[in-house]
Amino acid sequence: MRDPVLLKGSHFGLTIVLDPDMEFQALKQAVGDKFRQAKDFFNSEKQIAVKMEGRELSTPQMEEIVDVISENSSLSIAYIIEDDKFVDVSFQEAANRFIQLKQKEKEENLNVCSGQFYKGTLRSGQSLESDASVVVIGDVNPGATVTAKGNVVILGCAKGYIYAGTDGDDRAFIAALDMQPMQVRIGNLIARCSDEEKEKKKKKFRKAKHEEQSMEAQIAFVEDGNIYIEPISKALLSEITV
Amino acid sequence: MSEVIVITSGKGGVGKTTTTANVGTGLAKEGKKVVLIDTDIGLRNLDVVMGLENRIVYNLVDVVEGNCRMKQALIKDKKYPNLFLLPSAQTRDKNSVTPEQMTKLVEELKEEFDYIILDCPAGIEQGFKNAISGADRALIVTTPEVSAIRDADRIIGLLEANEIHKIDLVINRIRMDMVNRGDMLSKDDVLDILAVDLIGVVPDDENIVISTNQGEPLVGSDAPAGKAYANICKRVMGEDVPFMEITGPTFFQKLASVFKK
Repeated sequence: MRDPVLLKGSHFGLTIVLDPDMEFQALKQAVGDKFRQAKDFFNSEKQIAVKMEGRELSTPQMEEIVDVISENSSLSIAYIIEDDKFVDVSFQEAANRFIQLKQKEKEENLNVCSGQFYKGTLRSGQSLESDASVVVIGDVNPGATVTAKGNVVILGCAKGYIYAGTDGDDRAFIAALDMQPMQVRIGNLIARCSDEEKEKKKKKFRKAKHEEQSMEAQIAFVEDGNIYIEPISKALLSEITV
Repeated sequence: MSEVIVITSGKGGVGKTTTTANVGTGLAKEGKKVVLIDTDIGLRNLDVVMGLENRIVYNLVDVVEGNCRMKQALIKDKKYPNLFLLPSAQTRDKNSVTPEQMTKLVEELKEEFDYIILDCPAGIEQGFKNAISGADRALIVTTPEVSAIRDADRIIGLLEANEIHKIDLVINRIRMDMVNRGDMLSKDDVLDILAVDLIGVVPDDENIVISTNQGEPLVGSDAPAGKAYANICKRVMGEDVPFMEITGPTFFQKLASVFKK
C-alpha cells in the first residue's frame, strides 16, 4: 500500500505529500505518526517553510496539521507554502536574491582584507589602482599615484599621491617605510604635505650628507575626521582594524 | 652587432643634443662607425652643434618620404670619416614621421653602422614616440634639479612601458662647490630617486658653451667635461671605467677668476 504521508526535503524547506483519498482524521493521525518516527531526524529547533501537496486543504484543516507537526516534533513552522507554481517561483527568487546578497557582502569584505603585491618603482605619471588592498615593494616617486579601495602599504619611499579607502572607507590606512607623500587621501579626507616641511627639505641636501637621516616607518590613519601621520608603534597597530 | 641608442630627458635644455654630439664623436674617435639622427623635426640643432649645418641638402623627412636615397641624406663629419649625421627637417613638424617609419629607417641603418644614436626632442609626444620606436637602449640626461629629475623619472617609466629596459643615466652640469655647500642635489641623491644605472657625471663646464658655439664637440679634450664624455663613451662600449673625482674650483682658481674680473 502507498504511504499516505510522504516527507520530501526541498531546497527551501519541507514538502509534505498527502494522500488525496484518505479520511482527514486518519490522515492527521498518519502525519503525527510520521513526524514521531522521524523525530531524531527533525531534532533541530529550526524554523522551516512547509509546503503541502497532493490534497486540497481548508484553512482550519491546514492549521490542524501544523498543530500535529509541532506537537510531535521540535520544528517550528515559519511559513506555509501553498501548492502554487507562482508562489514557488517567487519564493525561490527571493531566496536566491538573499543568497546573492550574502555572497556579495562576503566578497566585499574579502576585497578589503585581501590584496595585491606590486614589485617595482612607480614613476612619475604611472598609477596603480586596485579594488583590494595594495602592497608596493619599491618606491612611489613624486607624481606617481597609488589608489586602493582597501589599505596601502609601501615598502619603500612614499613620495607621490597615495589614496586609500577610495569607496569612502575611512578605516583604511596607509603605511610606508619612508613617508614623504605629496598628498594622502583616506576615505573622503585629503591631507597634503605641509609647506613648512617643504622648507625643511630645501636644506635637506646638506643634512643628508652629514647625519644619515633615520628612516622611520610611519602610518597614516583617520581619527575624528582628521588624517594623522605617526610613527608606527605597537599601541597604534593594535587600534588598526583590518 | 650594432646598437641603437636613444638620448632623451623629457625636460628641455638639460643637454641632450650636446650629449648626443659628444658621445657620437667620442665613439667615432674610438674607431666605431656611428650615425647620429636628429629626430627633433622642426627644431633641429644637432647639425649646428656638430658644425655641419651648411652641408645639409636632404633630411630625415626626405628619406622617409622617398624623395632621396639614404646615402644622399647622410652628412659625413668634418674630422671623422666614420661619423655621419642624418639631420632633421626644419620646415616640417613631428607628425611628418610615424614610429613605424622610424623603426624601418633604423633597421636599414643597422646594416651599416656600429652605433645609431638618436637625439630625442623634449616632451613625451609624437617626437618622443618616433625617437624611441627603434631603440635598443637609452641614455637619460638630467641635471641635478628637481624639475629635470621629475621629468626623467616620467621618461624612464615610459621607456619601461615600451620595453626598453637598458636605461643608463647621465647627470649633466653638476657643480661640486654647490653640492658641498648643500645647495645642489648630489649624484647619490639623484640616483636615490631614479634608481637606474649611472653611466656618467658631467661637470658644469664653460668650455661646453664655447665648443657648442664653435660647432666642435670637445669630447676627449683636457676640459673636465671632455674627459667625462670620453669616459661615458668607453662605458657605452662596455668598458669598466672608474668614475672620476669631480672637484670644484680650487682656491687658486677662484682667486684667479677674481683677478680676471
